[in-house]
Amino acid sequence: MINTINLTRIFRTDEIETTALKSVNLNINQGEFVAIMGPSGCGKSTLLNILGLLDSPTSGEFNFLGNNVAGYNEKKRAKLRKNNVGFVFQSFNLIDQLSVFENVELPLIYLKMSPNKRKKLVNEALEYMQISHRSKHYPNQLSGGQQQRVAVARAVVSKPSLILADEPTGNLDSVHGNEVMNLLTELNKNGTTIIMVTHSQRDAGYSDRVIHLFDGEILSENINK
Amino acid sequence: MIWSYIKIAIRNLMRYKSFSLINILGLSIGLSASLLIALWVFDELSYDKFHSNSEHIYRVERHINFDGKIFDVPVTGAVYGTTIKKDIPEVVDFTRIYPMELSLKNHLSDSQEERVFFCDTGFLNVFTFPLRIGDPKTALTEPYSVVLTKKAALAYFGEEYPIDKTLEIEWGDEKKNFRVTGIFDDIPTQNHFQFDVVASFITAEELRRDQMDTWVSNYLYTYVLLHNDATYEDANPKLKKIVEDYISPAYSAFLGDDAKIENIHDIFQIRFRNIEDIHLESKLMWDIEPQGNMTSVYTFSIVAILILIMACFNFMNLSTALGSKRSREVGIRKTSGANRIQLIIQFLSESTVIALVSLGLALILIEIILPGFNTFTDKKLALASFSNPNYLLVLIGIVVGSGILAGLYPAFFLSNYDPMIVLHKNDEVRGSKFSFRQILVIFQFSISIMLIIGTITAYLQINFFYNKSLGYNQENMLILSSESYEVRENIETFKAALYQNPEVKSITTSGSIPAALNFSDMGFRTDKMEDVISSIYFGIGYDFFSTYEIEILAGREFSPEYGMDTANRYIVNEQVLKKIGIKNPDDAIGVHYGSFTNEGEFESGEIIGVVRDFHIKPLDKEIEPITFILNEDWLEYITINYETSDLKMLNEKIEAIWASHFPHQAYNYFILKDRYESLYVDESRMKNILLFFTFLAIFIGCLGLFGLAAFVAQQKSKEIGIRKVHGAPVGSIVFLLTRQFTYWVLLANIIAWPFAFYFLDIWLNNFHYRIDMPYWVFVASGLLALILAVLTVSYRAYRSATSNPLDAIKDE
Amino acid sequence: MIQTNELTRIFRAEEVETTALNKVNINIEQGEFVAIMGPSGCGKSTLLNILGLLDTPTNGVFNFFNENVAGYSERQRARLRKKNIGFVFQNFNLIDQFTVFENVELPLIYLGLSAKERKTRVEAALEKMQMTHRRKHYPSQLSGGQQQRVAIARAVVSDPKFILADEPTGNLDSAHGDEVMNLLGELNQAGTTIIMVTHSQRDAEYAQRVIMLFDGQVISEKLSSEKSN
Repeated sequence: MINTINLTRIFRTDEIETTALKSVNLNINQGEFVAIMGPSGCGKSTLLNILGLLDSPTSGEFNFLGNNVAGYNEKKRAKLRKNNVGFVFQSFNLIDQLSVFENVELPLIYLKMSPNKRKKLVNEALEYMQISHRSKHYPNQLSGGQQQRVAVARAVVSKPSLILADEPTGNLDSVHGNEVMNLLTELNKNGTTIIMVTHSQRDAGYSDRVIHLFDGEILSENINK
Repeated sequence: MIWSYIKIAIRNLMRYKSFSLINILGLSIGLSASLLIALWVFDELSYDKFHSNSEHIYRVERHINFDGKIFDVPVTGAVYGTTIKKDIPEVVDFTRIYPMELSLKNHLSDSQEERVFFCDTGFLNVFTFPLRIGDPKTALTEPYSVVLTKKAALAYFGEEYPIDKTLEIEWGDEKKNFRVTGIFDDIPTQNHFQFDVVASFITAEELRRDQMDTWVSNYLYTYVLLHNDATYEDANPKLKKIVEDYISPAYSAFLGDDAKIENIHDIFQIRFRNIEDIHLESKLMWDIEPQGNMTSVYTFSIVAILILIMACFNFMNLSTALGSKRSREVGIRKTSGANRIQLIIQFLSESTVIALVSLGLALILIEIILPGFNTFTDKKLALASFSNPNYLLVLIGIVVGSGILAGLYPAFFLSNYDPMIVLHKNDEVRGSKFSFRQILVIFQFSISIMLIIGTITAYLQINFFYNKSLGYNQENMLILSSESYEVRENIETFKAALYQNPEVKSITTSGSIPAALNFSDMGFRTDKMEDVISSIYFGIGYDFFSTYEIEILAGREFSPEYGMDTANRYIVNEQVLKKIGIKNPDDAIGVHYGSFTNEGEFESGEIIGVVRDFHIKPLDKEIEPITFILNEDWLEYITINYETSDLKMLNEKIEAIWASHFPHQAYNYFILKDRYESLYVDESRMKNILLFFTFLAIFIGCLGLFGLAAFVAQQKSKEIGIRKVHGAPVGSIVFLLTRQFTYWVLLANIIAWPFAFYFLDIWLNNFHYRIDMPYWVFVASGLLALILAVLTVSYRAYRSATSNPLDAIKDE
Repeated sequence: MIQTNELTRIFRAEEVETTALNKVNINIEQGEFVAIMGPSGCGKSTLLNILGLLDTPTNGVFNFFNENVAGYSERQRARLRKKNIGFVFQNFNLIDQFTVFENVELPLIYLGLSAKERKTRVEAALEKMQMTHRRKHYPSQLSGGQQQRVAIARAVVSDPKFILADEPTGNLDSAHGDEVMNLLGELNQAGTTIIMVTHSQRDAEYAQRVIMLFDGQVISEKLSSEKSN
């Protein structure tokens, strides 16, 4: 499903050039649950962003569902994104001015679905995340755990084939953190490919495979199960 | 410490270049506009203050309550001055100014029409007009002496030394030689009368002996200088005595022995008006020159203040917006030990620095605009005026005040940030007091909208004025003017020559023209009436009504076929009929009607014609009774009703004919419509200035809106990022941002409309003829503001919408 | 030096009440190098904020040099802060418009020192951090590691009683991270007390004692295997 060859990403600002990723080669199959780990500054977030089509590599090949998307512009990436990828962020990234329902509905609006269809899918997602009773509330009225559940609901509402999770339990206490990880596992069992970045050993334990990054390069890969 | 604040301020300016540019530009423009207006206002307020005795100089005026009408008249007779000086000890000196339009010539040049002031020696003592050359004590003592300004000297004598040279002035059919006895220094422009040629009054005494002793004929201006300790109140009882002793008997005689004048003091008063009050406060007919008025001064002052406030609000808005980018810096400083007061002082000094920079820019802008502005307003304003300590104080007050005012809200707002919050998150903190900033933006836009509505309405009103039916023909009227006796003598041959041209439809002569300000009133009655009515007295030649296309309701025009027309035959307008109680114009024909001789005897004549009312005075005055008389002696104006599309060619033809008939007379012409419009030059100017400042206000408003849009876009960047991550198209994001601003602008309209309505209603009621409140203008202005706002914001929104989503949502 | 007793911090927002710290008791002596660890959401940042006098506890006692500062106002805390604490943050928190020199100088300005004295101290701090050659540069011209060194210089320039470090290597790669930790270690050996929050096992090993937090409570304290006093 996803395949990179010599993927490189260099950031340039003023006088400083930082190589975040150095010739990374990896392969992720459909249905896998992969964790990417490494110390801070190792480039894992950068890798995740590229895999999630939020960023473009400086050089190298990036095959996404059979196409080399390395040179895609934002417009093309956006299109690919909205049809295939769901995002779960560490800081939830919900829109404060929108209600829970409206937040979850967001991806569907940009997929130009009819209001009826949207309503159906949103309610399904809220049910699934067990947060229907809060659908009219606003993010600042919810606890961290609840917010993340909303964020996950948003990520799955369009039934994407790939979910990207960036430190999904980062801002949660242990109980809620476990909840989220269980959810991801369940989604994965139902066929969704999951790529997760984490620095928590514990979270990594839920995945099939762990890729270790260090200073922009792949150090090792472990199989979990 | 201050120096480091300045350093920071400058570095911040450089860092946020576009914000800073908008900020400084907005404030500079606002400052220069207000300062420019301030200069204008100071100038208007300082008229006649340059005389060293200005507090004690007064103009003598007559206050008359006659036949239900009240007149305040600044013209007096010659005998007022001498009598007042004689009978009132508080009067230290006096001068009369007797303006006459005469033809001047010297051997170098053709004759020119010039307004000559005949003045007593006191003129050079009462007023402060120093002589560059000549002795003030003797320059105006001899008859036939004349003092010139530098401009006149140059015009008549070129580079020659003019003292003791001869200037020839036409007097009736004679030519009198005047000797130049002095040259004036530059005359200040803040003078309520402009002049170039001053002749000795004693000359006028000789030339117009018949006018010198009468109390009932008024044609010149009298000014007195009071003793330092004396006031008008001190002089008043003595003025009353003069009225009793001289004026009452003179008018009794004038009106007939049987007419008794009771309560003379209710009918007639002599008043003193301090010279400093003339320019702005007196709006009198027969003033020596059209003066300014307080309404303009107030209006412009308000406009200036509004613009300044707008610019300050802009500044405040943008500074706050900019400031919240620095929330992290605030957190760091607090963590490093700063307390709130230190932070407030820091931000205040930064905003003051920016205000000072804006001031510098504003001063440069003013220097550039000033020449054009001076031409437009007909003044000589200069930045140097600000060296006057009073003005300087105002200037500094405005600048520092704006700097502090503008910096105050951001300073308090920013210094409040909680370091704990700002340091652990990487996005900048959203201001919790959004509402205040909203209010500022809405307020700015309200003012812009009000100004737009005001200007368009003012424009409509003035246009309406111009086009309102005056009752006579204003189009295609070419008027020649000449005081020359030679022209009068030969008028018929000249007219005959003009009629040769097919473009010339009709010609008439008259002593004055409609829309002139210098009509005389006289008392008239029929032989059946007891009381006298007051009517304008208008001397005309033949064909007046046909040339001016004024409708004759009954009777006929004056005609050479009727010999008696030259003596005591009158044509009157409808207002006269109303006053003398005749309903049907036909019934007025043949009625015995007349006025009084100088000795006070009633001379009965006959009404031979009635004409439809027309506006002989400007539209904002009522129509008054007018009595026309055939007067072949007083025919200063020759009016030509023409028909051609090429006025230039026709004018050249006429000039040629003039030159061949009157080779030594200057050719003076004007178009009636221009002259009419020049009466409204004040309103017209106001309209143009308002227009200019409205554009300015809109510009500043949009500037502010643009800056604000940028800020909001940035604040919402996280939201925008999230939406983009999920695939939002550019359009939907642009729509999102513009929607909020649209709401604000609509709100601004709702606020602006009632205020605009209220103020406009008051202003329009100043006019005798006014338009109805143009509601469509309100809607159009609101729409315009909306479109502008949407355009401004969309641009900024588009920029945000097309940026990289990743930048906005980075967690680290 | 620092001692807390039943320290509690509860955050209230509309309908939700979160207990970030639940009756925490800790004791830190002068000259120690203590690491506070725990998974995300365990409350370590909250604890750091309170220890750093950036926040006040809801309940409990907080003895700061024998004064109970638990109820202090922001003004009082600010005064204590600037005299006693130096901060090192994960994202450096340097002021972009200031040069390196001016950044390091900042705390001294608010302490009211004369220009001459400030110069002396800043130069000494920059020497120690080996950033003297970059003193006229701006943060955007420095690498992450260099920026953090400047931040540390700023933290020590006022000679504070202790340094608070919040994930000091969080934004650095391994090489620079080690550099920074070594610097902190050196400072500690020279006598500065250091309290560090981290989730990196590796960083924690530079400390003498590790306090483990979990769901707002102290669950254990370990002496570091390598270091001892």
